[in-house]
Amino acid sequence: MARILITVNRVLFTNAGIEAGCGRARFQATVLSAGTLNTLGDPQRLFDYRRESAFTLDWSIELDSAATNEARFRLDVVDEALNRLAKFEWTLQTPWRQFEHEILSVANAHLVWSVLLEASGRYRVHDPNTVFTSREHRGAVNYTTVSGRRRSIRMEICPVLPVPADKWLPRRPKNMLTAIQSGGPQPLRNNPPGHRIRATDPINIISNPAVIPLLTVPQPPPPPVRHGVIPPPPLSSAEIDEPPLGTPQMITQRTAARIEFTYFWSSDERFTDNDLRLEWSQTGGTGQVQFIKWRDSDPDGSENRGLRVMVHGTRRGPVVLTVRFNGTDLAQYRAVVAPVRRVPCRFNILNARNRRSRPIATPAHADAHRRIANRFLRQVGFELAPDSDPNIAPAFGGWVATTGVPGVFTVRVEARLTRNVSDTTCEESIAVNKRPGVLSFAYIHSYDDAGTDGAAANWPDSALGNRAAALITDNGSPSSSWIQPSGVDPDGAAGAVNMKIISGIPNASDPNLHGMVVTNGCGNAPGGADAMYYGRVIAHEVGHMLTLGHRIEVIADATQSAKWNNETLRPHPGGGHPRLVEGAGVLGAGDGMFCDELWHPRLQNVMNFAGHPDLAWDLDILQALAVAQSPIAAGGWCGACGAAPGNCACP
Amino acid sequence: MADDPVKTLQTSKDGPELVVAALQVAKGADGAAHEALRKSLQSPGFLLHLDRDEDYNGVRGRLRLASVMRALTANPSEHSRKTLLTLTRSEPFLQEPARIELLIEAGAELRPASDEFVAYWDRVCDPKEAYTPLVIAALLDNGTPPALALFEKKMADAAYDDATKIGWLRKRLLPHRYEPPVLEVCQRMIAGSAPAPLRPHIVEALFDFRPEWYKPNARVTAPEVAQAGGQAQAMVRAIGQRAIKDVELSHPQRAAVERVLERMKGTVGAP
Repeated sequence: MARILITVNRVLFTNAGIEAGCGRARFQATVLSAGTLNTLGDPQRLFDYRRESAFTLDWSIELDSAATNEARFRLDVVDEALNRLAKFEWTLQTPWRQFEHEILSVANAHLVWSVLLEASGRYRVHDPNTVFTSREHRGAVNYTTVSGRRRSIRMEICPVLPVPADKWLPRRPKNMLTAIQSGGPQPLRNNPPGHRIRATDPINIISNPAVIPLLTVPQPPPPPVRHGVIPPPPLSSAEIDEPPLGTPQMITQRTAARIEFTYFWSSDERFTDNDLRLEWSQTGGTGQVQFIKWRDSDPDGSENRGLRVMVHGTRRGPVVLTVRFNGTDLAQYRAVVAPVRRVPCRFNILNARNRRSRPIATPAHADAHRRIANRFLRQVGFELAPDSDPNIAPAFGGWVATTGVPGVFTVRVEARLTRNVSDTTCEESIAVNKRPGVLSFAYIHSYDDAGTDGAAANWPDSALGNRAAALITDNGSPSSSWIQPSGVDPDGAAGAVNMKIISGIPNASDPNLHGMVVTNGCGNAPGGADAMYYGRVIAHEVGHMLTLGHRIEVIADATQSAKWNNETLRPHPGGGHPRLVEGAGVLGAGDGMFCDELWHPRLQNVMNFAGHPDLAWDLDILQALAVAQSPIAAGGWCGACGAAPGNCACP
Repeated sequence: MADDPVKTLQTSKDGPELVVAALQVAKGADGAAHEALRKSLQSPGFLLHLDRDEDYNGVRGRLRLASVMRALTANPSEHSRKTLLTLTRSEPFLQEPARIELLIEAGAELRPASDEFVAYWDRVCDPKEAYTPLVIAALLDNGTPPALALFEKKMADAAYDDATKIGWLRKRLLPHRYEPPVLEVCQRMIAGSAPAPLRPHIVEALFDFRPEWYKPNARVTAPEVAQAGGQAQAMVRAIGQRAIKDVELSHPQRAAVERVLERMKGTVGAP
């Protein structure tokens, strides 16, 4: 008997739209199949929720897939008073489509769920050679690769992680999909939703970055063992990831860029992680990369083989990596080799006299949040380094104390500088304990807009000019974030993609002061469940300080989620903001004045206005090119050739 | 749903259970139940069972109490209004800054604003304290003459600097700029009740809207004059004509006024 397993993995509440804000909720999941209503999990169990809550349910049900052609899935999220908080509905039909940890979004919430078929007594998304015993294998798919050879194989290296839903990606060849839907070998998907990014993760934890870091210093071999001499302790992971300012980063498996497949399908071949038949090489661009082993234990010669590789840059400039199978091009990945720009920063925790008007985060938390933010910002070659100067700013009359954590201070301030801080006062808040040339981060209790978790306060214009004057253009292929046409087979050739940047906002009292505020709105558990949220908020606001606008600027996340699952909201041929195209919700400030005028990916970009921390991870090549032009830190580079200012001969 | 919410309010120590009962009462019209809720909201024990002590370290929106206050605000019955007014004088309730803030925000929906509530707003609006931005937002969201009169008073208060007041105009007044009571208070402020350096900025908030006034986290929607009612359009026209004559406007400010007046030609009340 062929069986199908439907699993409700996680439910994530979005930060807007859950009206009550907190309370207790029930998750009532059912599947109607062959006239029987089946219940998943415990529909009576109550979960205490607050906005931004995430619930791991992992409730499953098995169905006899041969007994029916259709299964109607429904999940109602209700509160104790039976008010509906969210509703998910989906009809599954034969041929059953398999997926794992796919995201379904509706007003107020996202659902992460899986549908798996059984083969050989096991449920999973089966590898390419598995043939379901319950289905006929209809043979090879006629798929033509870009070199013109006919192969039954497809590989994608999507630059956006977590990978958007299939409907937002280049359409896959029809004959291949037909084969899959007919019960043939299923694709392997490599997608990390649900993973929490921690301060102790390797700095390169987010794969497929836009910037491949330029690294030239090899890791020294361990010192020879000498009798009677105690060798120096090896560097800690934290020292490898983020060495002190002025010390170059070494080439290690924690610092090189991870580039890996996101989708793989083969009709008749079996492939392994470091399969020797999949060969990676650089085929384009003026930059240069070097492959290193994914693991030290991998065999010599496997550095550029397999489904995933690790690379670092050796020369600045754009690069295109191509994966070949028996000499046939399978997939391409485009990035820019550039140095990681490191900027010193101070984190001041602003405490009022009243104990209720203080940030919840401790100095250790603030340091961890900085590190988490760096894991996002690594994708565009940017890093926040703790200010090495422990001296307190003499100009400030308040009570400042060092904390034992480099770059983090606590400061006693008037309540108005930390609680219900306004657009005007936030410029005063970041001026507390400031130091020239150092970014200023103020942890405060709250902003006057209750929904504000963090806010960029002041930053300079791009070296290219302000919003009106500058436009970031990218002509490369595959396109940035695979904005369509993406140049990914069988899409058409990638076209020019333009991105708007935002203008700088000078500080009223000190035009050279740049900084942002972080609030308790990020969560009550800054050292636990909410740490990643704090880090992502910092990365988002730093993005603004580097002149990045919102990738999708819509207030009502609920409206956004519900409408953006609708196929009718495909990108408008003429471009422009979604509001102008489909009336897709209420705009943020000033009719989209802080948006970048691109609207892909829908949910996955760090700069999404209402991004969920479990989804909004990505920064793309266009954003990397914009960041390179920010004068906020030394070491900017040319987007076309990657050269440092003064060494660039581009027109 | 609790069988007897009043009993739950009086006996339970379980926060999630209490919030359900409190919401049930706050949304209803039972006078006796509201009386019980009123009493509970002034009881330190009830409040600390509803939300834990450490919850008050976070932002107010995450408190269970926030849901209860929203439900009370949304309920048009006299009972809920009485509860909110009672809380403005309740020492135990006002012990926590977050509760003061929730009450400030709740007042925005009580229309017309009562003298008692205006007095509460005025009391907590202290330049050294943290509540002023919320009070200003509530006054303009309320939009009734008593609330706007307090806004007018704060605009004239020398304890706040001009930059702060300009921030109020752009972020809080601008989204309400074509509501007749707001236009009325603007007319008075331009005519003299506001300090002279602020008058061009009041005019600016009525006639212009610029991205550089805001941070990326701002959520401001600028009403268009074309969407304003006939009375409001006539008032806007009068303010614009007077501003060009009597207020020292910069070139961009003057251009913004002229642009709007030009756009209004041929609309209701146009000469």
